[in-house]
Amino acid sequence: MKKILPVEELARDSRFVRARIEDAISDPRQAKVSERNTGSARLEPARPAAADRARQLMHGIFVGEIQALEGAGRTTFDFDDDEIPFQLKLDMARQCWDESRHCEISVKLSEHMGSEIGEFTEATFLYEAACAPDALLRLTGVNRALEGLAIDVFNTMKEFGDVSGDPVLAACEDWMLADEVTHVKMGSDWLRRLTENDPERRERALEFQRTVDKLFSLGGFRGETDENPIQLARKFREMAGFSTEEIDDLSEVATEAQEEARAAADALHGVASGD
Amino acid sequence: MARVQVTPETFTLVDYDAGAIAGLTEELAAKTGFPDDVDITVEIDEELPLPLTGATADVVDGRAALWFSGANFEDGRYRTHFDEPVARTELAIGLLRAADRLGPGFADAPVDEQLSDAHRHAWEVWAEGRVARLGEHTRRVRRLYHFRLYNGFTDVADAAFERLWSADALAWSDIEAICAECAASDPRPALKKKGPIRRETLKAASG
Repeated sequence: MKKILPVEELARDSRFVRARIEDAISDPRQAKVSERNTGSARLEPARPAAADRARQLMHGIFVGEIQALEGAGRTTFDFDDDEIPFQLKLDMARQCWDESRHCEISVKLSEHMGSEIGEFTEATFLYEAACAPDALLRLTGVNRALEGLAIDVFNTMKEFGDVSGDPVLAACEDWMLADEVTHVKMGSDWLRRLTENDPERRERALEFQRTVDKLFSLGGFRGETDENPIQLARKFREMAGFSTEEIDDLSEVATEAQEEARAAADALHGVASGD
Repeated sequence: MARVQVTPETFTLVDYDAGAIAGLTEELAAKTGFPDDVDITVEIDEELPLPLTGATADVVDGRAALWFSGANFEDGRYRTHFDEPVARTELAIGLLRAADRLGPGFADAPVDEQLSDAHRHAWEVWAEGRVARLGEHTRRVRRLYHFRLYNGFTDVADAAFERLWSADALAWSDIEAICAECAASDPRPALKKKGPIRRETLKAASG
């Protein structure tokens, strides 16, 4: 079996259509939409098109779970025992079991909301950003950045389930959220253990995480203001081993990502309108 | 002048064809029994991508005025591409609701942007149920989810959905009564009304 599987070789059936993140960014409609003040971006029933936004996000969670399963699964196989402790591989194997369960739950939640597998596109940047060839970077990419994003997304969806009175959505998201906290905690613990005597390596890993976290902030998709649909889940991140300073840092990274995306959109819009 | 007018005549942001949409509207008007002597305008806001869906169906100066977000016709798998089965459903729902407004039973119904979310979604359930019986593509579970979101995740709301989906004839007062029944069993605090997404409405709201 091949080690370090490139994203192009991920197995998908004909229902899945891949989208490039660049296509979304360069879509001129995005700039037009951002000119409309439709109020708070928080996911709640009063938000315009709330139901279809929630359905699309749920489909995004589903494909994200597939990629998280693939990321954790690759980590059990891509590295030899002299590269990472066997116990870490066991943790990743346990995580695979959780992620496969999450895939099934996400499919059922999508059906509950009236969506079909493949109704929306799949962006594979989660897998691409998380599957670094260096074991420590892999751990920070998958277990701290990707799973950290999962904490934020699940908490947002759980809150949407609570406020909309949807007991199925709220309960399922709460269960998956508990798993994600464990996955991030495993990443935080292993990062500390593997770099116990190598602060420079730890710093490099955290810098890599910062880069991935900026990417995963998706130009303002995640943050701590009313402009961000996905809210940073501080309480659950603390439970997962993030320090307050790390969460503050992540909040800053998210703000930077939002400002950079806004500047890029303005530039693009300026070019398009001939300004 | 043609009975069906589609705006814009040329789409620049999405791969939609105004002539094809006009043709679909004519075909579906005949299929849904929309009155022959009533003009139809179809306005599509091509600036709105998925998932920013939205639609209104009103009667203005004796003609059916249908407004759709471009997202309502967009293929979720291929950005900016037209999804004909979905567009047919959306157009048929709009035509049926506009036809409802032409009859005496819906004379008291507020214009679409003033409808409560609960009423609006209940009316759309009834329309999509009728579209299903015409043999068109429909999305029943999606419609149920939308209905539950604004009428409650309760057994009463689910039973109301079944009645609306299968009803042949209803009046505005029936929609009001069904929504009142759902509201009485809904344990949630009253929801805020969904915000507007249409450019003109947002401009008017901002003064």
